[in-house]
Amino acid sequence: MSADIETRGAGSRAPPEACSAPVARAGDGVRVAGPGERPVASRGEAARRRAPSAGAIAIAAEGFRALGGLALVMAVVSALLWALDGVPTWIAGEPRGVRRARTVQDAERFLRARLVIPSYFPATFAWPPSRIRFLTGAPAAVALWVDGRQGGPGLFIAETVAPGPIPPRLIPEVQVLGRSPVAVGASPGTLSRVVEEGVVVWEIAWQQGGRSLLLRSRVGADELVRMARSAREAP
Amino acid sequence: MHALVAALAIEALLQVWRARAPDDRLVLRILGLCQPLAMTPALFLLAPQRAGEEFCETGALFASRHWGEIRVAGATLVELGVLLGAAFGLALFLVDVLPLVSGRRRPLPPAAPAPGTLEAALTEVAGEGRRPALHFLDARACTLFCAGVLRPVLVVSRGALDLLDAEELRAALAHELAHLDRRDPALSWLLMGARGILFFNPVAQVVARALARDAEWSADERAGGDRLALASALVKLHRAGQGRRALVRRSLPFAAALAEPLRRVRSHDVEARCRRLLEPAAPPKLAFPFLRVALASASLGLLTFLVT
Repeated sequence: MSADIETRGAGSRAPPEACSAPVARAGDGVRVAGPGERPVASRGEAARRRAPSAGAIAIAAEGFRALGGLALVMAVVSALLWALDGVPTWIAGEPRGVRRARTVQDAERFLRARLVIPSYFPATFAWPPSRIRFLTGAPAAVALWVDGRQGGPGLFIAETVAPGPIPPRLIPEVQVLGRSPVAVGASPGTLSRVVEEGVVVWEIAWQQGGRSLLLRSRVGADELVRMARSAREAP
Repeated sequence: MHALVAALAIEALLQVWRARAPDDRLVLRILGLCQPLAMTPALFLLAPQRAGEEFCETGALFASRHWGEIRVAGATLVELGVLLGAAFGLALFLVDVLPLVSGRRRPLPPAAPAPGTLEAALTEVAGEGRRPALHFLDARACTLFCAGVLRPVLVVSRGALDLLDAEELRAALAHELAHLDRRDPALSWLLMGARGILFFNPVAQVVARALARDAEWSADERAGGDRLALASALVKLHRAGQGRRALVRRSLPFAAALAEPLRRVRSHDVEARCRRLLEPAAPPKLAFPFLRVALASASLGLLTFLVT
């Protein structure tokens, strides 16, 4: 350690002339011009003439490195933030961006809209919903899971609060067995028989007041249509 | 969250840009510390739409309210994070403030006539123009530090004078003068004020400590002269200060931590400083410093905007 310090120390305390330009010697590429002869540029002079362009290149490279480094850091930080933002929904087992609300009123407050709920609500369903998920954006949408009483069939309600289709992220995937048109009040709708998690259920989808709505349940088709026709904004 | 994002981005930039010059590091770290302080309130006032649901869901890179939906032990993760962070930040703040508070009760011992060698060394290093007041302590303990916001003073003890040879003494004095030239004592009070305001913010506390370290390195580089002599003085003072009670408790946040009885400086900091001083020359400064700071500031502003 001390030897290393001494070695470096000797270098740092060397006289100034140690850092001056080396003296040209034979074989260094320096040629002395003869009498009447135009001086020939040595390699050193040529290098000095090239120096401005080399300096410009070095400056450009440094600028590029600075900008590239900044872009890299910002990209990595942005990606980390984006990934970190998705962790809560990942923990909750929800698709990215799907948010949860505790009550219908919370969901309405978040979405700044009243929800359309069937006013005809069979007593076999246990209100309030056990799960509420919503998406903001265009269009904002909400999904409600209502359990059935005493192990009975539950009800799934999904709707947008603005014109546009219901985002598929909010709706559990199903396999469609068959479709038929149905009138829901003055609006045309579609009544479908679908398979959800191995169980055959009924689904009705329609438009109302610029919104897209969907009901899905194992209760009979007549009950589902009746509920759809009774749907209106919650008081 | 804004402070954390800014600090992480700045630390990454320091690495990617290979910023080794302490002045470059100081400027960028100050930017990382101050940008959220100014930007966050400004955004609340000028861009209130950021607080809305739509921006959080569609525009924001990170929305802390999403973490607020997960509850653990009756509290949301955001609440728990804020609580733990505040406790950590307060602990860091108190670790540095409590010694100051107790140190105020012990005034500086009266000055003794300074030896001629010390006067001569100070005059040689500082010249007549920038020479600060000298407070010589006739005590065996090793003390060498600068203090004073309005009336800068250099405190040197007989122990330090006996310990250092002439070159080391000149190097150490040059280091202290570099601090005084940059008004580091005043800056340290400003920094401590910012730490007091942000006592709950652990990121600000950590960054402030890093700033103090950068200020030390900067004074090392600005001291000029014999780098090996300064490194040697640093090691000697540090070794002499270990395991002994300080003669004078530091009365300034980091200006005193500079050259003050180096017992307050941690060994790994001293080691890092010595390693830098063993380099034959100061590390090169970054090219385009203003452009880099401007671009970093704009980028941090954008990041801050996108984090709610």
